[in-house]
Amino acid sequence: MNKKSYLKTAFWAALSTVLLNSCVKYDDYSVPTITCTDRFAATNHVLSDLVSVAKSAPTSADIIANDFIMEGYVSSSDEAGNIFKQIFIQDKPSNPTFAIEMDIDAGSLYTSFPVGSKVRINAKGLVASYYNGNMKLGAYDASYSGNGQIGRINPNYLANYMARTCGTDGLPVTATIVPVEFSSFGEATQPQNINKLVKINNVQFASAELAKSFIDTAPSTTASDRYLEDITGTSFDLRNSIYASFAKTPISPTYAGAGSITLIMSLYTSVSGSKTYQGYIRDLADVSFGDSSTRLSPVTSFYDDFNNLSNWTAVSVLGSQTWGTTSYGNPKPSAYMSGGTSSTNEDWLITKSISLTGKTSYYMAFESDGRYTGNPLEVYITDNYTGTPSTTTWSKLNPILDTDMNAFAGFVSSGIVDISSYKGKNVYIAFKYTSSPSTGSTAWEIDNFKVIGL
Amino acid sequence: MIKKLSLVSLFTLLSASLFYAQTTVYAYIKDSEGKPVESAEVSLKGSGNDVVADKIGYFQFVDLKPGHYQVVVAKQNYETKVLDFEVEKEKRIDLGVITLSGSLGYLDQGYSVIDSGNSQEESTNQSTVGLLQSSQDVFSRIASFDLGNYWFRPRGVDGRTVETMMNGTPMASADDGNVDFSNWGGLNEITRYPEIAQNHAPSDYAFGGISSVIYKNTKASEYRKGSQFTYSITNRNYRNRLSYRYSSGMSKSGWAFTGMIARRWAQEGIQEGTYYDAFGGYLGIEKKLSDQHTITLNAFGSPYRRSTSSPNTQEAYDYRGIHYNSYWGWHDGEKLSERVRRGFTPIIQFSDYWTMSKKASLWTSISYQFGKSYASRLDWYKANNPSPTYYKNLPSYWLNRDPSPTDYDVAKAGFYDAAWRNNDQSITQLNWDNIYAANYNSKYSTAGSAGRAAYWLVDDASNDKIWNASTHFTYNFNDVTKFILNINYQNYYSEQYREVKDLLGADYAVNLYSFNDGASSGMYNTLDANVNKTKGDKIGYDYIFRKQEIMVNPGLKFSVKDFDVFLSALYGYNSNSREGLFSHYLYKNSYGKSIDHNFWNAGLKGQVVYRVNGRNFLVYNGAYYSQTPFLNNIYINARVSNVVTPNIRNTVVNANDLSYVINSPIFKMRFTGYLIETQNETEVQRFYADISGGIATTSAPSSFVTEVLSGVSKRNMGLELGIQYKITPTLTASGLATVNQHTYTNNPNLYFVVDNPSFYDATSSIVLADYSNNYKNMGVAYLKNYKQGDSPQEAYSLGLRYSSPKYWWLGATWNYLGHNYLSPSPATRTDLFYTDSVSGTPYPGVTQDILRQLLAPVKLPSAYFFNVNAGKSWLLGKNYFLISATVNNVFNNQKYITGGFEQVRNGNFVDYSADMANATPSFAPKYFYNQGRSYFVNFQLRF
Repeated sequence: MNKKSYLKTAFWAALSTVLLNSCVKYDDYSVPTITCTDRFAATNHVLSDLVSVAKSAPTSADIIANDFIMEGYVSSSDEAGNIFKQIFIQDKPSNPTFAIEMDIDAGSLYTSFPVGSKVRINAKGLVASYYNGNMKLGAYDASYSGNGQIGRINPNYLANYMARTCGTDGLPVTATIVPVEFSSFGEATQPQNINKLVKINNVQFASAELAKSFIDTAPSTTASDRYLEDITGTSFDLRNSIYASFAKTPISPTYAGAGSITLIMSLYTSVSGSKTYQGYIRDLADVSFGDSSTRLSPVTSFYDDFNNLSNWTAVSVLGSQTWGTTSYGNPKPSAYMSGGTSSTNEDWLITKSISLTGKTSYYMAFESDGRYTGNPLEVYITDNYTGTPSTTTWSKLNPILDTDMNAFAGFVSSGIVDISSYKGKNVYIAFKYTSSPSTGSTAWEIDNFKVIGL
Repeated sequence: MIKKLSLVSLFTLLSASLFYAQTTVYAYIKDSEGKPVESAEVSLKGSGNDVVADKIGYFQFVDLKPGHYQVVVAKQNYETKVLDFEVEKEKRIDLGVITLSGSLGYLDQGYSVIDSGNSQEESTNQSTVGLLQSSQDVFSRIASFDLGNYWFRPRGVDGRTVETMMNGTPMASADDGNVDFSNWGGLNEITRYPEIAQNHAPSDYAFGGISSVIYKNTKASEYRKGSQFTYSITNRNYRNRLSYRYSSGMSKSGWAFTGMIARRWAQEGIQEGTYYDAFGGYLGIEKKLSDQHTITLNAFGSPYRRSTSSPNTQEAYDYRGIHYNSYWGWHDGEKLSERVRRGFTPIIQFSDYWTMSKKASLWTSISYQFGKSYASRLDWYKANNPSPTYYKNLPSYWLNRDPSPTDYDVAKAGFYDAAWRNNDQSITQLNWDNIYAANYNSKYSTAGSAGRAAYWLVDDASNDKIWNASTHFTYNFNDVTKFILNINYQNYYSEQYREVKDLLGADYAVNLYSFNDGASSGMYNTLDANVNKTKGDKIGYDYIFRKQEIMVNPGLKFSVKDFDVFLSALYGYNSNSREGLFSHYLYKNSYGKSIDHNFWNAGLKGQVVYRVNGRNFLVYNGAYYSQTPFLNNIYINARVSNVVTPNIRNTVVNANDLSYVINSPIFKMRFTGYLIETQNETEVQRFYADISGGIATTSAPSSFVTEVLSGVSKRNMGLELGIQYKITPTLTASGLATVNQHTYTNNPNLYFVVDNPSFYDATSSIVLADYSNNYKNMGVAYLKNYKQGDSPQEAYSLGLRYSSPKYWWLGATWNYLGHNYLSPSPATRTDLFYTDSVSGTPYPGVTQDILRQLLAPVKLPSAYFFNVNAGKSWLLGKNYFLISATVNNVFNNQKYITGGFEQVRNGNFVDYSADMANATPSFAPKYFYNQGRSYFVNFQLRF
């Protein structure tokens, strides 16, 4: 019987073994470990390198033949439908230096590429169009052959060209996109801002728009232009699509006041070649306006578009050249000063007395365009002008001046220069021009000078 | 002496007990009160001997040669009893006391096949519980008769691992491994009392798989002489069964003849709008040429026609109940179904039984099965999906499609809610009027396409020709050593195609892909310029499956002291091929013959029985073998391509069990632990789905999807306890308890085959490399440690049965089934699920925790069921009359889900989680429900 009891024991032992054989608990089920893999290899280009392969009107010969891998950050969203079949990408989440538009034949791109997504783009197989400073990346399509035109990428193949990138935490990288801030449309509507996410402060809808919705409801259109204005009165085209979820939202009362607006800055070039800066908001959260009580009513204390210099005093301290006007401008004419062929000059252009009384704050703005290397223009203010520049105590102002001296490439807004500290006084504002044979002499054009009280 | 009895009806594991040759076998027959039963008919199968027991219930058979025998003891008003025993060299074998209980409750009930009628429709993994199994131990008997009604599968293994053999011929179909029980539908009296090797125990007749070898010889002489007439009423797929059998008995000139005809039918079955009409016919002729030689001819022919019912989402069930069926609609005042199955595949078998010498015998059979079977469905071209349960026809779609539904959506949802709530059958059922109207509009239009069918009915047809030849050779080397050799050859040919069944009023249907984009011809058969097809024309796909297989199965039985050993080996070779008869416009490898895909198989099974004493046994069964995948698993896109499942290999099975058995007159028990490891399995699921890849797809066509899991490993293990205890001579208690764990043990690779080319396109050219192979590699499916679906993993049963000496009985069982899981859908458990195919990175918001929550196994509700059965029999002169009745699920529990599957339409995290977050998801799992209370009443007359 020993053998038998041994066998019985073996039987029970075997059964227990089966029982205890790694019984799987209910919650032991496996779940895929979320892993993030970069689809494309490391970058071999930066976004602005597209300039080197882009054409204003690319042809099939311009299809990029080799891996052309860049990184960027998605700043746009088509979730609300206002931006449609487009995605905007800039090279850095803040202070970007270059930004592009990609055209893709699909909606709901935000589901794959939400705002802030860090992406890698492989332009191999695509074409780039660079026209009037607007960089577009898309597919070659013979039916889009004009300057600045480009075909849309087939969404079925989008994965071949674009993918999100993975961070060290094993998740796709999502950055916070910080818009580039401006205080006037003049500053914002510059070629270097095209396709970037920008934010403009102290703006509002033009009063003619207040009774409307974001798009025209009658007659029905696919897109409508709504005009914004900044305190300088500069008008700006906010372009809205009928496909936007807010298309029929009335502007009043919610958006009747003033505030800041965040938008994608785009440049539209018409068939005839005229250029218009247009802004696309992503959704209504981009419009941070108060109610109508916050509307701004700027008063122009001084304005000159330089038909002549009758409102100014031109003082030549050195040199034979003097301030005058020219038949160029924005629009023409404008004030003009050039030191000739590198002669020595010191020339002042001084306003007549401007009274800063009756408003709570005052601002100055103008536009400048320069050519040829030389000293920068200087801008001063005083409330105690002696009649002679050299004996007057001037305070220096720091407006933005044109820095592109290669050509008269376009007027640059000075930005809004706050001169409220002179409130209640009479002031003089002066442009000081200098040149010498050693520094060279720049030719400066000044236009649309204004002093505004709020 | 009782220890030498192998009473198969109670305990089949011990088929190898030892006896000795040239032997007299005898026994006494008593009733349950211990009184002798006189004049019982005792027939000895395999010898042709019939005897009648004497007044004290004694009978004997003399001069039995060594071999395997089966005795059937029958007496009117008593339960028929079957015993298996082996004769080796004993002088006398005492089979002991054979107790006949009052008339039978279980065996004559007629539900030999538990057929849900819809199981094969959407998912090939559902299986039916096999044949009527007479020779079973107490555990297996309860498992199949009481729990089998509720889709309990012992050990959770695929029903296709049963080897069902009729007259030496394996009956499983080579394309999908399923046995078509309708081949002998209703012929229960012919096919009952098979010999069974339980689970993976070795069998005398074939190597088999892991859930039993069931073997039946239908010899005309072995049926009770005379006539038997049976009528049954039930509320299943069919409602009536009528059968008549006549057996001539063996004439003096050595001829025997048995014929049976049966019909099962219902105007409308338990599921709405289903009908059933199946005939079963059997003819058996036996000629005894000499004492050594008998030949038989058997023919089965069972034409059938029945409509099936749909699986549905919970939403549809909530509106319309568990008997809701979306496949039918009103037409001319009749319930017309789109899904009709019909067929006629008769089997003719010729067998030769030759006792070559005192030591050797040889059985040889040749079998031929041929015929066609059809399954119809609606097809359409440039028209909308007509199914009433198409997701856009249910309120949930309109409420779910936008986080804040528009007024339009709310109105739509309200419309459909009212339609479903009030059962507007123009919405909730197929709208044949609209379907015909679409075709008439086409017919009377002036367009160039006038007469083209928008909708038409097709039949998915198969035309089979299956030859089979087999031999069963036995040789007794000496008193304790027996050699067995089974050789089987099968030549399988099946042409599978689709044909136009009904144009529904139109003039023709086109053999074109509906969503073709103009880039290619869209022709399903580029070799046939005439794309306009009419009734009876082949359309869509047409191919031939061929398989030749030879299996050699030697076995050896021997005994050493208290040990009985049975070894069985397998050596097999098969060759598989597909030949395409259509040249598909897209799939280059659709036309012509594929290369032969050849597989070798090998295996070993072993059984060791240790007799502790006459009433206590230890039994070990082991099996280790390889098995070739079925044709449908080799050719994953067989309808349009010769492409083969990547990395296709033989499945390797390693099964072991250990049992402790007690077998005494008043107490019987089997307690078993088992462990089955399966590796390299190829799991294939096929279904229709609206599927597409990538973004920006407007409307996805309904596609035929094949989901292939390659290299699956599983472990099934558990404990089984079956007990039967005779409390008094008339009152018997029996019970079952089983705790199991059936899990996946690895993360297999998933492939998708979709007959819609846009599926490959839309997921970007990254997959174009695979496109040439017509499948998409979905990567690893993380299934490890998921529970396998489709069978409860815990079951308990307790039954009491009273058998009155006055020829009536009453029995009741209480059953519990739990730990049932929904089969995990592999598609949602891949890296692709949480990865945005466009951005190439995980979807925003995906976290490990959310994923874990979302992919948690779905546990299905557990349930209690109460079954009762009763019966009484009378002897009216020479005629015997029996009434028996069974009611299953007495309390009409309709909440029990027998199985289902997760829908894969929302194959990505964002859509899936959004849908699942809805109160009523649009793409919730589809379920099969238990059909509620069922009854079966049987009237039987023998004369």
